[in-house]
Amino acid sequence: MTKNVKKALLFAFDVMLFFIISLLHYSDFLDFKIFGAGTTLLIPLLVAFSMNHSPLTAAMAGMLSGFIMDSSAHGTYCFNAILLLLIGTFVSVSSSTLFNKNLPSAVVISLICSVMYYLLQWAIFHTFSEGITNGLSFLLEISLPSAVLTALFIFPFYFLYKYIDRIKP
Amino acid sequence: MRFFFRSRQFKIILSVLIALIAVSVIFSIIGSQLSPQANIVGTITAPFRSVVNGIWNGIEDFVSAYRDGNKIMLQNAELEAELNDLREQLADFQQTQAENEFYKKYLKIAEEHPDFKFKEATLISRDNDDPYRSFVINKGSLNGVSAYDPVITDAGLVGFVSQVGLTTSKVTTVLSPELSLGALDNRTNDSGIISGDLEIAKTGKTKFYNLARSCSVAIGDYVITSGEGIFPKGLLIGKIETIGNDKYNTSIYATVTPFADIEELRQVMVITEFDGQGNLLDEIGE
Repeated sequence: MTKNVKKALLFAFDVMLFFIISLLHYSDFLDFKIFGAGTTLLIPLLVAFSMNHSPLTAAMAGMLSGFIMDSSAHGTYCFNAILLLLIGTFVSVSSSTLFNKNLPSAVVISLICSVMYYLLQWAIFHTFSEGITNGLSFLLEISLPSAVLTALFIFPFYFLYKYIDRIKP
Repeated sequence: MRFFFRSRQFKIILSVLIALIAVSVIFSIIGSQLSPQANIVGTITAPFRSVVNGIWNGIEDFVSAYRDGNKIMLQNAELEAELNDLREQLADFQQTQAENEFYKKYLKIAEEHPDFKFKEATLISRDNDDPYRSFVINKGSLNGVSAYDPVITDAGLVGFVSQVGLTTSKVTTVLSPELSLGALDNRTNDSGIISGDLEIAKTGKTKFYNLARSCSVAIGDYVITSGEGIFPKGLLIGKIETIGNDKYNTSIYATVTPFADIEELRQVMVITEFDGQGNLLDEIGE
């Protein structure tokens, strides 16, 4: 297999993976919850992807998958696109300057990104519309547990992208 | 790190970010319209989402058929020889019958409310992060759907179209606190407001509140729309399950189980026109 063909195949694989995970997120396939906590698999996927790509590539991957999410997510305009763009950029830059490219770093970055995502989602969409009691319940019972559960999904994606990084031409 | 902030990549990302924030602010002000990129991406991905949803529905049907399998298999074994020739015709017949049933139920509503104009829609994706079970349907402004159109099933009210795109629309359900509609107890005519609540929504119910302490609502009563606001009068909402005292004032509230099975929705009807539809929207300047 030539270098270019391999590159094209890996690019196609990345696009398919992001596209499928984005679509599945808004289907009943991924509608599993543990005590009310759900997951947003795109965040750990984007974290694992961004650790091995340039800031611009990571930002664009985040933005495009955010567009797909925004077309289905409730009440958002560009929330997911903006946030995933920032997450992609942050992960790509920080993993080459502040963190090492290893599993503990990936877990920490994934946790930071998930908590930021769910915290901002809560702050923007739920604090005012639901009153103080319900707003806090939402944060403690849904948002933060969801962030932790989401962060845990870094493991499969980290190992997947570690493998991809190894076979990359 | 500082090299990154001076780089061309950073400038490109920053420009894109500013553009996205601008779009976000503009469309938040306009409201009830999907942003252009969500509209384009939504239109492109709608067929894929329909396929994914169709596959999931197929799996669900298969699993539920398997669950009841033993009984059905025994019956099937007895009838198989007899039915072999007719199976294909039967499949067509059943599909047509199901479609007829679907339309017949709406026909009843249409006969009761001759002013209603319906648009059939299929659920293509669901926001799993939203505890109030909002979802996306495969009909948009090109199909005559507008923001604030009521969404129903043959069982009762589901919610309203909160954002409309060209070929898809987002629907906010009766479980959501974003929806606030005037409602009546069908038996006693006591009036109150239906709106969602996080704790109640977890159990698939909504809240019927602001009821006078002297009202005579009872468990088992049906709740219907009062016709104030964006919904026509007389749409079934649900059945009263519990009654309690409001924590914050002297009124009482009831929890209502919607007649429409919001968890299991597949097809819905959007009421695109009804008598008096524009009144409130004109008042609020939409």
